[in-house]
Amino acid sequence: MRRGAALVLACLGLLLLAGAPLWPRLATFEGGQRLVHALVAPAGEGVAMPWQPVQLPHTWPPHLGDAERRYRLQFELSEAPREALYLFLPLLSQSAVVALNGAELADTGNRSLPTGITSGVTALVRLPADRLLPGTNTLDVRVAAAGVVRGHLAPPHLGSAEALTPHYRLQLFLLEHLRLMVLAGQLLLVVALLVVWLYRPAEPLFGWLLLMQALSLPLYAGLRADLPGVQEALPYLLMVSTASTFILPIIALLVSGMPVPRALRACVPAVPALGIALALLAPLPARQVMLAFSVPAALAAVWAAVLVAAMGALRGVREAQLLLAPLLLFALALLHDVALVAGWLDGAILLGAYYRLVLMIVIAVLLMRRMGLSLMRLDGANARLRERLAEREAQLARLHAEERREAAERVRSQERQRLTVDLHDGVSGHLASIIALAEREGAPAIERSAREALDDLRAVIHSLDIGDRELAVALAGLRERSARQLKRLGVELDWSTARLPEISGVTPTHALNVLRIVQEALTNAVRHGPATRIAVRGEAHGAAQAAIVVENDGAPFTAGGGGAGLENMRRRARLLGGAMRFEALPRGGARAVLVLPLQLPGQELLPDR
Amino acid sequence: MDKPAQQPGVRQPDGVCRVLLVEDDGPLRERFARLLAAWPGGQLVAACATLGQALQALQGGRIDLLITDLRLPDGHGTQAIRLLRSLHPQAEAMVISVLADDATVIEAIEAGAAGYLLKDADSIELLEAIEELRAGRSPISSSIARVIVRRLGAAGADAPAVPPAEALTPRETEILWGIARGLTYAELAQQLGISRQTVPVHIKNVYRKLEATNRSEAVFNASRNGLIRL
Repeated sequence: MRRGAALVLACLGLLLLAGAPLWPRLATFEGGQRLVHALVAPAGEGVAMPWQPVQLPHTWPPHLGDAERRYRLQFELSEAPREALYLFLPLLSQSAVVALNGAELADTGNRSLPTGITSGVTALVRLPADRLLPGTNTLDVRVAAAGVVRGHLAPPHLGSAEALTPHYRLQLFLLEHLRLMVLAGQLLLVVALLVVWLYRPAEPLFGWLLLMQALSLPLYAGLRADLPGVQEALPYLLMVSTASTFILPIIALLVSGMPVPRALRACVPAVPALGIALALLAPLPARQVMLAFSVPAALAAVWAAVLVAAMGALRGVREAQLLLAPLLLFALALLHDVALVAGWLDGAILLGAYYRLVLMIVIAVLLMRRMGLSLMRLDGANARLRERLAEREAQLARLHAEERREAAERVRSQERQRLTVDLHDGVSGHLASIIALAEREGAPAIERSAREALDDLRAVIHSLDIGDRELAVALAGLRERSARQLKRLGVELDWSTARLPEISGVTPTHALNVLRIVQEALTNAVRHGPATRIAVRGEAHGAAQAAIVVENDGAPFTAGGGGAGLENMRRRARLLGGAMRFEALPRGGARAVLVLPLQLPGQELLPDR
Repeated sequence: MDKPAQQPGVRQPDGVCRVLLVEDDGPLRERFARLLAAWPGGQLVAACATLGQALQALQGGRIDLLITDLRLPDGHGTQAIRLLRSLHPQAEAMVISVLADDATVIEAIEAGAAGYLLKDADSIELLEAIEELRAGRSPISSSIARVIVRRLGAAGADAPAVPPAEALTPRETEILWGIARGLTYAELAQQLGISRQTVPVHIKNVYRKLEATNRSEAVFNASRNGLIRL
């Protein structure tokens, strides 16, 4: 959507720019008068001049070499004005001397830019009040044409300074300033292309563009045609610059991604060289060689470029599509100019220079587009690299964490080994001995205490080995130990943790806390119950919690009963980020529920000692 | 695959199971000796306090069942187990451990033990353990299961290179995983669609593989024994 709008705007802008020389045709004048009737006579002094009446604008047939025409225009004034009047000559080719009532007032030849091959100048002549007569006034305009362009005089306007100055300024801008701007733009583009080419010599397009812009610079030599020798050298310079037109099809081919034939490359130096050789060696005037040989060849080259760009555009090459319209306009403008010089068309403005500006703008757009695209590609590559770097870093971080976990695991495992060996040889062995002795001596209380101590020791050692997400393993160890105790006591144990959700953030400390809570619930059930059946279940508790439920068919938990025990359980549950619930069962018995979050708090890599 | 490899080891023609007890702690030795003496199905050949005595007793005559502690004043119980396995291949060995933990028990299993007994086991547990062993079934705890899965490698991408003969079958792996995750035999049997009685038989086979693996001295890449994330 936005791109489409931009494209339409760009096309309109280009057309406006290209049509610049034609704007004034659309202007309307307010006040003053337009002088359209004139008498014309060939130059030369003499009384018996064959004056011919003509309608302005008037163009006379081309004469190679200098030629002059004299125009006589008359206008009426009802009375002698108090203020000066102004005569505005919108367009004439190529210079004029203006006289009022026989007195010369202005000569454009000394004032405006030398015209070279471009043509068309404008002038604003002050007609002083003291020179104006009431009644009929006579204006004599002597127009001189030089070079290849025909003489031309557009209808002059007569009026006040206020009415005419804006029009004069606009014409001045279009016919002189804009042409200089084209030169400035071209110089700028040459510098830009030179830099691009220096940095990217591998890209042939930039080299060709630079060569084209540099070679077309001699076209502007005409601007200084007043310098000695330039006027004579002009045809040769122009022939040299036709080399640039052969680069156009090469550029169109490169942009469309087609191979450039060697013959075409050879044309770039060969055709201008041939023209110059003909002009120097054969007894032909350089101008004629230029018009008969160089110009048609250049036209053919430009139209070939148009065809190539059209092919590329049809293939869907974006740059060829961009290039096509300006190239076509430029080719049409050249046709127009040739027709003008040949006399098939009337007019005094050569459009080539203006359309060259459009072509330059498109070249700049192509350059900027390529730069933008490569920046985007660079960004893309950077983003990909950053992504890969981030991936690598994440991988490293993962490996590092893994390494730390494994190191912690090794430390734990070593610690546990050491403890186990110590306990094997020491405390646990002694406890086992105490059990054996108490059994022999018939001291059941001592035996029970020793067994509990040994089981608790087992819980401690076992929990040392519990890693993250291994709560089920810890509980499995507890089941194995509890099952033996309860079996001895004749209590039925129904245990299932198969449906316990996975809990992360498990540390040995957490595991031991869970084990102690469940152990306490079992002990309570046996001591205060006295239960005959205990059920332990691990299950999901809502979506984001897990629960371990211990039910027994004994007496319900009472707040006063196992006060310290229950409080201990609550405290441990809080440490785990969970909570304890004690309920009495409707059919008798009690239920203790430990609710745990699925992610336990304060996950540490290393067990705190 | 589910057919238990029946080991007639502890069932002798005369029907009497000859037991050798090795335990350095006096009260414990006396207690186990008392419990074994009260067992009608067996005969306590000797109750030794040292490895030396035990090795002598093993050389002395037929032993069907060795019950030994591992850490002895003059050596290690695994030596007695290895000797028993080489002298009487049909005989079974059981290790006395204070904790049913991996380090000690696995060591014993790799030496050839087929079961373990907790030091505070009462008479019922002791006799049950012996009966189970005679029926070709072995006990296991979740932590031992965990270590064995690590050792013999679940059928995973980074399973250590074990000789194919010693590799765990998928069924054995499933059972070990289940036990490691804290499933009861009943839950396991239901889940796998096998009889509850066959689970310990599978365990016995796994123990034999551990022993064989240890004997064939397959090197386990310690780095591959990554933690099991249950």
